[in-house]
Amino acid sequence: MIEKRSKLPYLFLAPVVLILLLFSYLPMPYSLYLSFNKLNPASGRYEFVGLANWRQMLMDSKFWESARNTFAYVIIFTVIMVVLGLLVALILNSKIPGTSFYLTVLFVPWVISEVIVGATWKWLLNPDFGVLNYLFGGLGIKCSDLITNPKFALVGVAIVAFWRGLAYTVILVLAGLQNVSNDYLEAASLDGCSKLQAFFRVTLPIFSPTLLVVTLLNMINAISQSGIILVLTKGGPVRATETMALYLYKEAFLNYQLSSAATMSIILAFVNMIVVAVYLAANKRNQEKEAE
Amino acid sequence: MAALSLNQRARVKKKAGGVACQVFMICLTMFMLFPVFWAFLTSIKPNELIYQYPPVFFSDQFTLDNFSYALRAQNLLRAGFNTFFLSTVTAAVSGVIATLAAYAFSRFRFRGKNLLFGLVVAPMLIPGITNLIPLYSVYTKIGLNDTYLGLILLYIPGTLSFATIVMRSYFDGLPYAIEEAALIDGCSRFSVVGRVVLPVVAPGILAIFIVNFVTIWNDFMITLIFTSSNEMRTLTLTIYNMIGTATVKQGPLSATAFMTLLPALLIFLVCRKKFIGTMLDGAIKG
Repeated sequence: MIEKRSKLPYLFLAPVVLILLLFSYLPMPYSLYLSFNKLNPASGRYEFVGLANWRQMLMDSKFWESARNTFAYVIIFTVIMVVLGLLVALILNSKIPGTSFYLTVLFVPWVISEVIVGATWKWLLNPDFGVLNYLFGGLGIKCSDLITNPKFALVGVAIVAFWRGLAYTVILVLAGLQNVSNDYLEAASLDGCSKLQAFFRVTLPIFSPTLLVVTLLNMINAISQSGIILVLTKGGPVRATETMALYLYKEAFLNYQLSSAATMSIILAFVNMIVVAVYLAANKRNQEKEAE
Repeated sequence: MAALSLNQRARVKKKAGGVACQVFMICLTMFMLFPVFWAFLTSIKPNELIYQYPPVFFSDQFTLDNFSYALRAQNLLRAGFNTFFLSTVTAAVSGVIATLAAYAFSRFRFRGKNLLFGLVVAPMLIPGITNLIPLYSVYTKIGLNDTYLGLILLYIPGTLSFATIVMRSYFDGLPYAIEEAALIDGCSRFSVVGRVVLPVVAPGILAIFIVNFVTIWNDFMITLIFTSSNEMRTLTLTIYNMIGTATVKQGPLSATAFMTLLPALLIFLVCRKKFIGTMLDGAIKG
């Protein structure tokens, strides 16, 4: 680490900063601008309309429905993901035979495009020809309900998103578990702790900050999930899986209502920012703990 | 069981736990792999077998017709070229830019370093779709829709944050002493980077190239929104369009899907260790 006064680092950073400013940071204020304007079809120009877009959004029952769906989806997805991701990571962390094989297997869906994931599962869950109906029919389970019944559809898309994203969560948890030194566990076992006790009394307290970070990261992913839902259900049946991310995609690119979509996107970004703020606080506490 | 000593009992318990873990992991493996296997099986079935219930698992009528039909009916070669071109250019450009930035973060002390690093990492936490709406509006105005340049410019920022984080941790893991020695010997900063640093970090650059290549290979939301002509269509978009038709042809669809996922899957399997290690790096530091 030298050359404190050098301008070189700024030169090296210029391209990254420039691209991110243009493509990641400036769009947000531009969204805000769009939310106060509306395209006049006659003139083809944007005209200032004050709070009209905002009022329209708040009166739109579909918007509130999509907000409820997003909320439910985030909870369902995150619970499935964190519980099972934790379980799988703990098993793999105990170095059972085949660990590296299993880890590779988990990554297979991760390297498959969301559009293929959606198409594949749609076929697996097809009500007429789906192989899952056939395989689980004997148990009295109709798997195709997972995408055709409004009651279960959010669970269905959450399961498919879980299928694709499990590897990511397992990797995050494994990284966190590496912080739990074996010395603590050995000390606990010498003191007569059972394995289960050791997990709840030693591993979990040291590990809980990581768990919080993993939970929040999964929530952030769930908030913006749109690809898999779009392919699998298109928001249906009867808008049961139309989350905010999907609703604003449809508004913007199928109905070409960019202003009203931009207005919703600000709400979505705001909700996301709240989770991010909690995440950053948790992450900071995490790092301070590690530094101690 | 009563006759067993305490030690033996503990061992039996441990074994039972191990077996339970293996059973669970084997079930999970089937859950993870069965959909891919089924997609493959569908792709080699003739039409009559695909639309049959109960579903057919084995048959002597397996055929490659779906593959040849998919290749003939779609402009798959063009789509394949587009996907490959966009993935390669994005991963390469993004890798170079991110490596420069990571080098600055790792090797220099300068004002606003933490703020700038935060600025680079933060976009990973912004929901992608919210930025695409204003960008679409701008793209329409300046005519970047449906162009390679426009797509690449959208892909690069999406891969930069991750690449910079991983490369920074890579640089941080390398001792500074060698570079320092070269600098003292009178090498310029640029020749130090070119002759001393780059050869050492080449594996790291390759690693982020691979991960980013696969990421762009798999994208479909951005091409879906920002392309309109047949010439610009990518593989994933071709698949999306096949689902959208009134009568979905499941055989050719599965064949196209399988041809699209195979390159990404092979790259992953060949570079398994590197891939997972890079993901782990990004996960810890991010």
